[in-house]
Amino acid sequence: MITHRSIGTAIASILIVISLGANAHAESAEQRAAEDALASWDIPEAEQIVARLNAGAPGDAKNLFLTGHLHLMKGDYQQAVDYLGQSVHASADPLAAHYFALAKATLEETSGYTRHLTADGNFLISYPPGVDAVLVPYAEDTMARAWKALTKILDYTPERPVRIEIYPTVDVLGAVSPLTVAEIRTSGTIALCKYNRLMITSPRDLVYGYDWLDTLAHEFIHLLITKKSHNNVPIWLHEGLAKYYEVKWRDVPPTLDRQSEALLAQAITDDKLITFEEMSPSMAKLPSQEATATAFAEVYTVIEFLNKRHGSDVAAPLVAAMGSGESDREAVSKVAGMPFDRFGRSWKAFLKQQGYRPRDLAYDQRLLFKGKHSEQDELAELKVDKAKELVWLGDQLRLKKRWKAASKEYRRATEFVGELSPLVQGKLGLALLRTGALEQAAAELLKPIALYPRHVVLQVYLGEALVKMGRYEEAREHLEEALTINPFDPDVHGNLAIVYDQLGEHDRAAAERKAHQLVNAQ
Amino acid sequence: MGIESPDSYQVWSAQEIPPYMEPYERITRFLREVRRALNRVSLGEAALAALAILGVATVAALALAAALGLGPGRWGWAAIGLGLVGAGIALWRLWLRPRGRRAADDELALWVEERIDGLQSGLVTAVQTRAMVAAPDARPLGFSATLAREAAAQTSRGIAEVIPRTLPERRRLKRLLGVAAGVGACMGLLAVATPELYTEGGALLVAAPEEEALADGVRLVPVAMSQLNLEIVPPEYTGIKPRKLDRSAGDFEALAGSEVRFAGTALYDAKEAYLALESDPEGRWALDLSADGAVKGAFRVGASDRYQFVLVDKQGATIHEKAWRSVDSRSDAAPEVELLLPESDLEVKPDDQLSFFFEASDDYGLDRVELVIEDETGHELDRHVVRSPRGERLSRGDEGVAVARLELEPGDSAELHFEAFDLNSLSGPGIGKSASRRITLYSPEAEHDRLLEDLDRLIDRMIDVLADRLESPIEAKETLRLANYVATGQGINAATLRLVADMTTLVNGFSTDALVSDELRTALREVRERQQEIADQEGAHLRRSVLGTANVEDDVMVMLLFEANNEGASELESGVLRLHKLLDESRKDSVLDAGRELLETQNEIMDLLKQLKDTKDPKALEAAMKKLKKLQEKLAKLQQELDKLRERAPYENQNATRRPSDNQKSMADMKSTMDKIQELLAEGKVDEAMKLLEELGKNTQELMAALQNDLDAGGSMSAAARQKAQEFSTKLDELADGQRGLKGETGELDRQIDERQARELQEQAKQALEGAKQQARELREQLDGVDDQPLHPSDRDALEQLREDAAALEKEIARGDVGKAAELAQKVAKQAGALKAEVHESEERELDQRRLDGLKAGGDKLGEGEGKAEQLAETLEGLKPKPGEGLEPGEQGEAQRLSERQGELGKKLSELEGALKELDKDMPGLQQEMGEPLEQAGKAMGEAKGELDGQRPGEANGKQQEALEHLEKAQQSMQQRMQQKGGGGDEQQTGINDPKAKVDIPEEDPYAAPRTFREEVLKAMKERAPDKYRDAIQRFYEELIK
Repeated sequence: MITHRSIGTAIASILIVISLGANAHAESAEQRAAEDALASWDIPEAEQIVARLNAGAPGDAKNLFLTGHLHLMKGDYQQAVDYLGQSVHASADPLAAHYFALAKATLEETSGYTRHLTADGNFLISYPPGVDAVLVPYAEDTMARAWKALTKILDYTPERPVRIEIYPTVDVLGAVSPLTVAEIRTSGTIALCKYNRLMITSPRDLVYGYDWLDTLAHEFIHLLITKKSHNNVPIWLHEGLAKYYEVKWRDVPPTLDRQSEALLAQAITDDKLITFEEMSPSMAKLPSQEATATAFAEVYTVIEFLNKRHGSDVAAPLVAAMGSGESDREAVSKVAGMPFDRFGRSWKAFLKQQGYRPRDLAYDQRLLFKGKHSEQDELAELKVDKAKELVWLGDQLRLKKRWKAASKEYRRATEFVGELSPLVQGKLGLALLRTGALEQAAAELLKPIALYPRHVVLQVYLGEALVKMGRYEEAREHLEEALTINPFDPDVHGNLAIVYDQLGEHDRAAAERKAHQLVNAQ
Repeated sequence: MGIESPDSYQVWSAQEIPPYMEPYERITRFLREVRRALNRVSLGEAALAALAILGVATVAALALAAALGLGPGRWGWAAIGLGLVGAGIALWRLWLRPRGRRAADDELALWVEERIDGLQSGLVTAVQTRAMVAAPDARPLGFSATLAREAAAQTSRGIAEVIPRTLPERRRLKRLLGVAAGVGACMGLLAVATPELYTEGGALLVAAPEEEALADGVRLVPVAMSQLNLEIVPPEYTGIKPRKLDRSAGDFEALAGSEVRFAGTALYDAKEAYLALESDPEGRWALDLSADGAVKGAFRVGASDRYQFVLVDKQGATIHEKAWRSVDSRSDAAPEVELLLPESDLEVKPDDQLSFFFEASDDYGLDRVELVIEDETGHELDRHVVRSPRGERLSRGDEGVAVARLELEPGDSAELHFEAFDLNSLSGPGIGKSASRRITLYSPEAEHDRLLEDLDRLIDRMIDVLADRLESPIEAKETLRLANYVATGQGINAATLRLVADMTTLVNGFSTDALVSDELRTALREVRERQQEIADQEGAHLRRSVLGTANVEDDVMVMLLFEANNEGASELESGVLRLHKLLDESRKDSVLDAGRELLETQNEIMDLLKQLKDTKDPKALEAAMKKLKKLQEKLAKLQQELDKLRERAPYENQNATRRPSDNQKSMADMKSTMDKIQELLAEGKVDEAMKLLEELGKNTQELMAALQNDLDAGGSMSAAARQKAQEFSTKLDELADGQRGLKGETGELDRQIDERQARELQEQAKQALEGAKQQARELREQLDGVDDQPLHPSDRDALEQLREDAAALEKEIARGDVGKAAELAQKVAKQAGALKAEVHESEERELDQRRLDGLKAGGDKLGEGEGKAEQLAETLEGLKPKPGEGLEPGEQGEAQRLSERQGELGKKLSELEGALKELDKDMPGLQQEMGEPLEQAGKAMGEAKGELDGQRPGEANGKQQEALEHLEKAQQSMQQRMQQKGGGGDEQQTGINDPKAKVDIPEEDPYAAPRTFREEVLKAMKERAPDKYRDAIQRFYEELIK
């Protein structure tokens, strides 16, 4: 689910290298310098060099390509299409053709988008007109906090504004990036930091949404790392840093969720930890969402381990070291204060000391994509056939609004899967909520929430139950958490408006009512 | 009493007024002012009324003029005239007449006194006495002048305070003012809204009539023709006699198509006469005009119109009639036809013979009635005449239709209706069309689908009852509420009984449904029986409770009802789940069936397109288009089946916007591709259409692979069980392949041995064979010598066969194939013996001596032939090598090797039989289904081994074939079970296997498909598939392997 610098950069780099090799005789040092600047996302530098190149030979195919590439990185898609198109005409360079197709697709997909410059001027958010506008205020708030926290941690401030593009579906993300829709769905990679911008899929393309605000922060970390290191950080460290620090905007210490712990424990037990090499060139190329999640958990613990050894945040020195040309092994050795091989052994020992325990989870939480996954897929997450059947029966009763009967079937299902299945508890909680058994509903919903805090359904229903019980402070916590996963549920906004009003925050209540209206109109 | 006019009063100047007259003078002035005020008011009223009337009249005039147009529009002036009259009346009634009444002072005084209290007739008295007081000498006074003056003075004081202008009533004035203002406003609004009403209407009011605009030399006359006689001749097809109208004004009504002949006399001295039509003002039709002024002519009635006569006088001036004569054309109504029977649509069987009854009628007679049959798109399949009444006005009858003739496929429909035609030969026959009846060819699939729908609804109702049970208040188990529990229980019990009745209906339906699985049939029956038991038991408790016959305490009864309800809920739960699961599986089968049909239809279309390309045969195009339509229907069916399969389950969150699934998108794309193919074919672009069709085929393959994947994912077998089944299937396939190969090798060995032995025999036993050859020849001649005339026809056939076999025997001996020859000789001997017996039987029945003799002779010859054949068989048997005796060491070794292989295969079969027992746990009933064929295969394999051990490869080959057939039967069963369970094996279903394509198998990795599966895929590729799908197939398998 969590994102990373994608394979596209690697492919592009390889292609560039091949291209360079093939056309070495035709390239000037200045052109190579422009390529380097573009590869390290140093846009001001690239702009200067490209301007000089164009002053000398504006019609040169390579110069046209570099100019088009520069515009793509700057977000001037029309210009990018024009220049890259001319370059393709002039040279039939496959790399130019690749970038031309990419720029064209991006232009087509984003041409009608609305643009919003955040109040601090740090981010320019583009989004399709319509209901996705509901994301903007939350994104702005989060990114303002992320800017403050993360630029400090990485000791680096990028040029402003940083561009964020929100796409309505994964199909669009697939069209504007080198990832295929199948890869996106398989690995759960629904956001990217690439071509000098942050790209995320709207949570509305997923059945339950996803932790999109953490993901935005995550991608922002990638951008900072890429720029600061001149794109010299390998993928495993990139992802480790991004994963570890992605929650820093919330002003809470990073923690590994229980599911990731379980995955790690299983991998340690089976001796099937994913190697750092396997994580390259992209986490998105890993064969399953489970493998991707395990890899993320691993790299997270690497940073955790380094921080503990170093005694403070290692992000800035680590990235700076690689930015100055050191390899990942050298940089890690430096901040860890030990040779890399020993570091590897120490890290594994550290992992074993953590006491992670594999859990026989009755429910595999993973992203469910609209159009790909059906209700059956959701039910298939349950591992016990009898429980599946009872939940199915409960659902049929629920469709007939026979809530009491439905709650009985769901409760029977818990006899087979326990009371920690977020799917069953969520359904049971809702059925009880609708029968008016608020206390019982809240109690049932609370049971799995520690293990599955990102299961939005639990947060939404629990928030609703607490609102109905008049426990507004508690409700706020759950409803705001739900917003960070799926802000397209109108009930969340409706209940939050009540909560804010009750707590005297009338401006926020008004904003939530507006969001409620917008989402309801979808 | 006469009243003098004010003019007759003596009038004084101000200075001259004598003092005694002052009160009178004041009264007179007062009255004058009152009169003036009244006159002003009434004038105002009259003016306003007149204005309003004139305004309305003006608008009416303008509207009338605009409506009537130039000329007649001048009738608008009539409205204005009416308006003026109205205005005049208003002036008279509201102003002039009241003014006249008020002219006399005493009248006015009376009017004033009615309105002012306290005058006590003083005013009238003053008016009446004034003249007398003013001139007392003129007449003797009948009263005291002083008293009169005093009274006048008092009256004058009484009116001193009265302001004359306040006396008139102004309410009507205000009302009229309102009306006038309203009219004015309306006129203003009209001017804004429709200014053309004023401009055009005004212009039309004042414009000269058209007639006046005619050029010089045109005269308008009221009538130009007199003594007009008409003869109206209706169209011949109607059979109606001509009608005469003497001395007619020229207006008439006639059936369209009638010929109108007329004759009349011109009223003016003319040299030419014409007919003019209003619909064609420029046209002129010349008429016969004789010197004596007689005019003759004719025309045919088309549409309704008006006509007039036009004359040209000697001076060349045209004489027009002012008025038009009207022709009212009546059209011939279309016939009416009614489809009387059948009264509703029908579901039919292929061999049904149907009758359709009709009743047709027409006002002037029917020509024919046709039966029209159309397909679902309206394309005519058949049309033929069923009656030819030839002029009758009413026709009834029926027409038989053989369903087989319509060439419908199951589930296809056709629409039938009657069309009746009249005899109208002028404007073409009128056609009446009856209502349509749809006939649909019975489709077991459609029936199966309907039953599945019923099952779905049944499950839904079961869930309702389950909900009632789960929410029953009886769980509180309070004794005091027993009556309440009983009432609730009765409701639930009744609902359960209704469910049982529905289940019974469905069980009956499924009993004739060949497509439903036995499992589903059994499950439904069992669920019904269980529900019946529960309902009976619960019903008994309820009855006892209601009737008070329960010999238990209330608390026990509550417990009994509680237990019954719980049991009912539990049984319903399991029943719902069981039936739902089976329904789901049936639907999955339907999806796969629909997909297969889709592919088959694509194949058929491709063949048709090839044919179209080669032959340019329009019939091929038509057939292809029809198939394409079918294809679209099948795609729609697939979509429908998939929709049915979609679970009705809610997502927990309201992230509501749905997007179509990938499969739905694929199907939408396929549909648009089909549309495009249709367009291309319509444009004659066959090559492009074929290309698109190929693409469509690939997409279908991919869709089916995706669907298969989806369906497997939700399949009813566990992954481990699927794997086990897959492995078993693979081994079974391997065993069958092994047996097939062994059989081939054994057959080859046998053939080689035969050939070698034949060669050797030919060499070694040439002489012996020569003898056998001679014997065979004699045998054949012997049989040829049998007279077949007296024989029974069947015996004649048998004799013919015998002769053929004898000839074949001769040939085999010539070839040196002793084995076959010996077999044939034995056969001939047996046949000859059997035929001889038949002939002897015929002898016993035969009465004709000549034929009897013939039969006897024939019988004898056959007997001799039998003997010869037996002898020959013996000779040949003697020439045959003994088992193993004639085999060379190499051949013996080969036979031994084959025997060992056969033994190995037998062992594998035993292992499989063991595995079958295990697999039966996951796939119940599998052993029962496959046990026997495997056992038989094992037996045959054992016998084959025995034959090989005995060095008899020929015999072994036969046994091997037997074993192979049993194995193939087992394979077939396995495949069907795999399909039912969604456990793979779909490769053959979809017909998508390419035996030639090469697919690279990637190295094994932990995330890839299991190796057995990949091997299975490769194996599946050996199956045959159409060439055109090769690419798609390759992609399909590559995807699977990935």
